[in-house]
Amino acid sequence: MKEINRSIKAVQIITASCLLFLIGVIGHVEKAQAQSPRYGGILRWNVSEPYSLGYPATMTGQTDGQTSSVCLETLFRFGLKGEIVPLLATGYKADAIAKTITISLRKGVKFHDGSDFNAEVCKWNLDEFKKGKRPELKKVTSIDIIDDYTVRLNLSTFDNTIINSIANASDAGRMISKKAFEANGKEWCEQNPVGTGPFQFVERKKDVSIKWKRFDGYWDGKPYLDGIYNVRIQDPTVSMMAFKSGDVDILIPRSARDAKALENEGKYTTVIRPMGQVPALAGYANDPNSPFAKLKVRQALAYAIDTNRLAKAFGYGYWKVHNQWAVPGTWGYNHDIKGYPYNPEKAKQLLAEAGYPNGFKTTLHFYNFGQEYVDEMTAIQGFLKAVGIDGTLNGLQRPGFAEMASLGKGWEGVLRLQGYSSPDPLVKYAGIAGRQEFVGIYLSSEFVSLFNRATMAPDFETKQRLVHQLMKQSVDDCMAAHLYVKMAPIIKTKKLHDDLFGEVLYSYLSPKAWLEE
Amino acid sequence: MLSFISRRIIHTIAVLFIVSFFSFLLLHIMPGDPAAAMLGIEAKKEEVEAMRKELGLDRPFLIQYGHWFANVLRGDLGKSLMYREPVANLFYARLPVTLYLSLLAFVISGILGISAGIFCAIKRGGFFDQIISISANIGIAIPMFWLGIIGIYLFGLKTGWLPIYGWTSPFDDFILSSKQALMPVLLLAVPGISILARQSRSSMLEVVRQDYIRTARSKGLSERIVLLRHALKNALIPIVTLMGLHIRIMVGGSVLVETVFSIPGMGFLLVGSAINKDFLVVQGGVLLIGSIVCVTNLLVDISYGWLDPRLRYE
Amino acid sequence: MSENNTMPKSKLLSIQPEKKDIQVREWKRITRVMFGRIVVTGGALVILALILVAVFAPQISPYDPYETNLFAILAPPSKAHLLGTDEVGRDLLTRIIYGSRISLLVGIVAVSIGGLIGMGLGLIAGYAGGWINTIIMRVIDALLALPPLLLMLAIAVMLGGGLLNVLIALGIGIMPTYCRLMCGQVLSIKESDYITAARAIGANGLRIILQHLLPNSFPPLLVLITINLGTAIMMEASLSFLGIGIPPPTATWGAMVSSGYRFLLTNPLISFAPGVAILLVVLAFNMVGDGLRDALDPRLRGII
Repeated sequence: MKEINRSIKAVQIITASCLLFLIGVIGHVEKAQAQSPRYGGILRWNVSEPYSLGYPATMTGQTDGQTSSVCLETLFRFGLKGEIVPLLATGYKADAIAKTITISLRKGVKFHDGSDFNAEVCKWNLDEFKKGKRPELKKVTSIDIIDDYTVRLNLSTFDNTIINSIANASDAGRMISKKAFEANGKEWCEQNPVGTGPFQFVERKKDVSIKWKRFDGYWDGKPYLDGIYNVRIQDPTVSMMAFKSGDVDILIPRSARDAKALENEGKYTTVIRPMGQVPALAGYANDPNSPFAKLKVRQALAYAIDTNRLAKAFGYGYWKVHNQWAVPGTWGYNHDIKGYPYNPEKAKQLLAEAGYPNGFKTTLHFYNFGQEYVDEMTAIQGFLKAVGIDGTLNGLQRPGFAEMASLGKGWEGVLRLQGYSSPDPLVKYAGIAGRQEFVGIYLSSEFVSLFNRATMAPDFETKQRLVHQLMKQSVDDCMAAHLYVKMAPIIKTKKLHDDLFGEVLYSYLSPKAWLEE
Repeated sequence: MLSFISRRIIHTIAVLFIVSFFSFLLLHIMPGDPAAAMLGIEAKKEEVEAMRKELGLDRPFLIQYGHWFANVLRGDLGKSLMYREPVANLFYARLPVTLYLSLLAFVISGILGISAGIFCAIKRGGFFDQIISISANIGIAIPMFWLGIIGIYLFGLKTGWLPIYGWTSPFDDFILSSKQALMPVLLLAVPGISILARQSRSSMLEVVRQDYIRTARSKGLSERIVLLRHALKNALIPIVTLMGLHIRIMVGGSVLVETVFSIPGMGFLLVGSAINKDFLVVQGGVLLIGSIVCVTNLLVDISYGWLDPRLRYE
Repeated sequence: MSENNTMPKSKLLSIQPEKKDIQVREWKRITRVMFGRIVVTGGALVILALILVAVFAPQISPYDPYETNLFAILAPPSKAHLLGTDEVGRDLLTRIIYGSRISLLVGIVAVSIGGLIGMGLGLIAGYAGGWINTIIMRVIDALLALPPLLLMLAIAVMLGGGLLNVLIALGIGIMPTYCRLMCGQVLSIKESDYITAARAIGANGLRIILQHLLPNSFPPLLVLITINLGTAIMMEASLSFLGIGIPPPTATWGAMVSSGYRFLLTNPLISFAPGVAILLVVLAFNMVGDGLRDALDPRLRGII
């Protein structure tokens, strides 16, 4: 009896505490729900200086696409899990056998200048993008208008990555007003974006600010925010101070260190962007005299770097070490790959076997975005020197990097590959496999043929299987020494709600975003 | 006087011509193909060819110069690759900012520097003389960018008294603008104050030893009138010649100050363009600033010749 | 202005019979005037210290300036690291010590380049006269129309950065003053009586000019060189601060200020300490230059 009583008591206590907990939770939920969206407010954040804002074919890099994305919308966007979500389109159908992609478009969408968005404008936009000789739509041979709100892309060979390119705010698929283009020309459009997005362009003061205001005729209802104000603060310390003092509402910290400091303050919302930069070091293998033409030297390069230590020292818990092009946690990631974990002894041994018992001198080229990159490369230089690869740092700016990365000039020694990861590793890879980017990186015929097969895969399962094989092939070839995924946190004021900013790919800002008073 | 002015004008034109040649030359001392180096990441071979044509790099050197110079006279400095805008437009938007800050700093350094120097000369050997002299020496030797950082640390980050970055036009928001401009302007004025203080001190000391001052004193004029009426006027003449140099210091300093405080002026633009290899902007900036300094020097020369008639016949 | 009354005797030097005696007295006077001021003595000591530190950097540095230590990033000052460590765990004190090498090297090489070219051009301009003089002096005027920092920035960037190109840029930026000084000296000697006399009896004018040039221009040159060493160091620091100077990971004071700027809130020492080094060294060169000027030729006050 005693025992029963005791257990009844226990049950009572548990029930009571459960109830209390539930009440607490419900109360909390209610409290959260009590805040309903309100109209008004200007959302401010810091951006880099964009080059072109409103003519997709000449827009390059992340900055242009991200800055203008509040104004120019894409046919699709990415969702919270990296899935493709319709935006200006309502859906698509890919036919691998007929080599077509049919896209149905949203009805009732108007551009900021009042013109309609329809199949004709969509075709014109994609054609215009193709004219810019951009690689993203290279396989699209022609575009047909099926009806007012349906277009069909005819492909030379089927490519399951095209839809991804169309969804990426930095690539193809952004829709601008044909009417505005015809009235004002390309150069005007570059500086005066006219899109369908929730915010329309007001003015740009170069090196100072860009202003956007609410577009009342937005197809998905009137946006809550009155407008957006992008400021340009170049210096990372200053931009952090500006955020702390409330001058800006969103901060994209330049270094993980700053991000951690702000996160630890606990006064702000911190979100981790789903994708990060994926730096990798690639030795130049196109020249038989280059040490990196030898597999063992490339492997030694990979073994020599303590990526865990680097990620710990500079990443403050945000950076994830990885060993292949695909990012951990995505469907393309091959868990069976061991890669080249830090092993300086092995690196030295491989160098000796390759004929460099005393190491060799080389150059480490990298795109110098800022001091943080110099720090990282300086540390990497130290690791390499420890095994005998004595590299001189060569920090490059845009033009110099372009020569090596995309103009096909090649490089002497090691080049640090740059760029953001993509949910589809095939997209990330296309330039290398197609010998358009980083020409000189080791490229085996097995790799290229696997790549082509994977892009032509008609269904997801086949694609995934081939991508896993592709990952293995690239690691076996040791095309590059992978470092880590630099997952980048975004710090926001707690007054901002429902914005999705930084939570989905490519700095998409939800039109439903709103600010507390 | 007329012949003096015309001689100075011809001299200035010759110097301007050489400045323009320097600016032109800048693009040609670059190793490698300027066209390829100037294009961005997405450049293709055809684009490089087109750029070579646009820059006229396929033609003989002197013809290129003539062509470029003719364009410059029409106000065409080429197009910035980074901003995708005519270079002249970029300058048009940024030059007023730099001029505004430089002019303020110029006035402040003139007033503070000259009065400090004269004060030191009058109280020669005194406590303040020594303090000011030491400060002036430090003011010349201190790295401006570093002083700016200390200013940001003390007045921006630690106390929060002043904004630490940015620029607002005084016509938009005068108070904010003044707050933002206070540190940069004072910083820009530091070398000027130091140089002027030293110079006016020694110039004043030089004058005080002259015979006419002794005469004035022996006439029984009060020390105040002697110093202000007789000594100061003469001591100022050599200081005026320094003003041309002074302009150069102000504009040069703005390169650092604008970078430290993120002020969108000429200096900020030129540093950014230099780092991003936006060569046409750098070239145009050198030409523009060189020309401004030349013209200011001309004005200083003319006013100096007007003040001191002896110079006209040199 | 007691020092002003003792006129320089360099011109008399070549004529006076009891050369040695006068030289000794002159030397004594120069050292007395020069080191009479505490700041000048202090400056000279700082320069001496700079040279010693630069030469013996490997012996006195507690660490290797390039050895990164990812276990000790941004460490505060401690017994192991007197000034703390920087963003990749390098010892700050060591980096500052090694930075003195770059500063000294930059100063000496840039001044040599600028001085040699400038003096050569000045000599040609002054001796040849006429249109050659006009052209050279207008070129110098044009160079002087540009703010030195801007000129150096443009040249360094166009040449593509790096130590050598920075040195060239600094040399060109420094050159004009030497050219003017030399040209002026040559012209003044050219007009003097003994040259006219020498010419009249058919002697080689150029030889005589060169013979008299050195003793006459030595004092102002020495002053100019001393002050310019400081200027060159300052300019290099400014270029490095702007990110256009000598590329990392070379330890240069300007680049250290610039990269430490990011840690102003948490580790202000990283940017403050190298700044103090620049200030001290530039101040020292200026002070010694001033002292030299007062001792050698007070008339130069205001000209250099």
